[in-house]
Amino acid sequence: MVKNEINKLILEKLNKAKCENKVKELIKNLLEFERDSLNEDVMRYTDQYKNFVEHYARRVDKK
Amino acid sequence: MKFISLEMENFRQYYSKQKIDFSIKPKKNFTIISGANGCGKTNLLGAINWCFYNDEGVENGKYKETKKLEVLNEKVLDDMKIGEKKNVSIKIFLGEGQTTDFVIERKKTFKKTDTGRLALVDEDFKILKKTSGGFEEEDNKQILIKQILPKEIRSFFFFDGEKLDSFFKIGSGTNIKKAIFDVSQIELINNTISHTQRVSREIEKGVDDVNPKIKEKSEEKSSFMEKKEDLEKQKKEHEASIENTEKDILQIDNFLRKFGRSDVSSLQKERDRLKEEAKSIQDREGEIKSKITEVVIDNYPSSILSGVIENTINEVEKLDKQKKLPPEIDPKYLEKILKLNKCICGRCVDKKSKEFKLIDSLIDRNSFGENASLLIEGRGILNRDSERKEDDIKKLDELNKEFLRLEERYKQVGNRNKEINLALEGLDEEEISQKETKRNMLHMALIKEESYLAVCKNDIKNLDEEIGDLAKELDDLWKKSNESNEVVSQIRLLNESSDVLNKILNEIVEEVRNTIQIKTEEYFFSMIWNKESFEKVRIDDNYNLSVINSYGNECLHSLSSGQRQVLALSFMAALKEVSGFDAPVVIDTPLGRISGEPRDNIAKNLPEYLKGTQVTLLVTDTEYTTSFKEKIKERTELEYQIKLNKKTGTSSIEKYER
Repeated sequence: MVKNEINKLILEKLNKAKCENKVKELIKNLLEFERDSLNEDVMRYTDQYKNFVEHYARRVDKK
Repeated sequence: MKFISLEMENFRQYYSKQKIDFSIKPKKNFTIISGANGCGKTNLLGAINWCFYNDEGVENGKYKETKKLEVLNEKVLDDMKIGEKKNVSIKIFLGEGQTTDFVIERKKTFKKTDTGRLALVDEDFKILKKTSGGFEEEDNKQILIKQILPKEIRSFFFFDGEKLDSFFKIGSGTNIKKAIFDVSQIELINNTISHTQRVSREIEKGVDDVNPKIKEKSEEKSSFMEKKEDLEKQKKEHEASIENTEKDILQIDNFLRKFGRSDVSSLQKERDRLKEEAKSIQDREGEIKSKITEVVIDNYPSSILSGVIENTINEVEKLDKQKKLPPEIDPKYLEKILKLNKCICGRCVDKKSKEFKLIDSLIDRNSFGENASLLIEGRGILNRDSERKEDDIKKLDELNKEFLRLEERYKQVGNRNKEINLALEGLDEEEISQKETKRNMLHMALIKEESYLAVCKNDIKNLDEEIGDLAKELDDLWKKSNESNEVVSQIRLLNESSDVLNKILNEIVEEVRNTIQIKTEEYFFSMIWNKESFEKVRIDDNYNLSVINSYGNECLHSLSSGQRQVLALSFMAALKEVSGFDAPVVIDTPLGRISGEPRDNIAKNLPEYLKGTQVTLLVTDTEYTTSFKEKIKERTELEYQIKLNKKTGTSSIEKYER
């Protein structure tokens, strides 16, 4: 499917999914992050990913 | 998006520059390009693929021999002088409406080296995009190609009708699943899931001084996940290997079918069997013949003398009745009984008794003289002979019957042998038998791979359960642990995210499967001629496609080749539609190997196919019959013919005016 449609579909499903809001938020950010990395074909590597997630999780935890 | 036109130069058998304008009117959006077999239709499909993706996208051997050769036209190569350079280029003009919005151009420059070989000296790929100020070169070419038509789903837009059938024949579930996954474009979610899991593992690993129980469980989980990743890799390898093997088998089957028979090997085997049977028939016939001779020889004298013997027996019977025959007892014994007055059974034989008189009279009959013993002996022989003769006649009768049966079978064997020889005549039997041997080997390999795959899948399933259990345990342990909230929160967040993403992924795939099922059914019923025979089209949980007939039974395998082609075309159209990409469709040999009435039936309904989509059909001369032309006319604006110059081996494209 065209990327935009897929993203819309994922978000739609995500909104319906029964999970904590912070999980939803993380997934949204992850997908966004993943999409960027897909598009530019870079930043696919664990370290960058890990930094992002750690940073994100820390932020969420502080909230 | 539509193809506005295509320009090509020196590509494969197309010599110098060629141009095709495509039909772009909304209701007349079929472009027909016809040509005889071997004139370059598939190369045209290859050219479009090459321009978009830098490969010709032709699978399964049409280019098997030429694939390694460069795309430069051979005549151009022959005409080139040492050091001279020549270009191969394809330019595709695309537009949303009736004018060009994009130009995709791929060009390769070759030079003839001192040794006469071809060297690639330059290559260029560019996309020009229409802007308010004219055409500008696009920087992000790959992204644009992905937006127009991603490589992984191109085969639902540019495809070979002849090969559609194999989509449903070989491991259809796997093929259909792959198609559905490809069209769903779910790599984004897949990547995200695997990354979340990996990061979660990394964080777990990185925690020092953790509760030893957590450490242990976390290491265990980690090792299970690594094992699983390993298994997933193996699974992919097995799946790829199965796919390749199936393709190879199909190729061999196609090769054998070229001779009009896919059962060459079984015919050869049958012929060998027949040869052996004929030999054993001959052996048995030989045995029977000698047995008959034996019996006949044995019976010859008695047969010749049958009248005399019969008379003699009758005479003897008569004498017997008159009690004129001597007893069949040696007179010496009789005399002894009378002398001892005692029988051998112990009874007393008194002189006055009846028995004494009887025995005495018997001794008297012995006075027939020397002839008596001869007569006694002869009577026995004659009777035995006569009985044996009857037995022998029965035996002869049976032998004769068996002989006739064998003769009949021998005739049948001979006729069948002739038939087989006729069928196999002109075939390169050695090549065929080599192919057959290879096919059998491939078949064995396939069974092996399939069993490995099954084991792999099962192992993955078990590991998944183990990992799930461990994750729960770990979650509990983390909750109870004194670890910093931060780490616990990170891990739990990541694990929960990956669970949610997995759920979303499954839901999306399920939705796509469902939609494809509905769309395939819609197309199938819009194109199939005997609608009343079918009830529905189904894609089950294992991605097997089936057609349910009006009696409620699955009938995919009993569909005629024409009906199957319709199903395949419908499935492709459904995939195309669900993909959401509005790219043009190009079909090489849309009617595949179908001929006669089914061909007319498909042709009749083809205008219903992909309404609103620009379709280019690459058709063979035999496919493009008058009735096909007539039926497709209403949707066709432009027609072309590919002309092959047999002398130079080059092709050119000419517009065909109606």
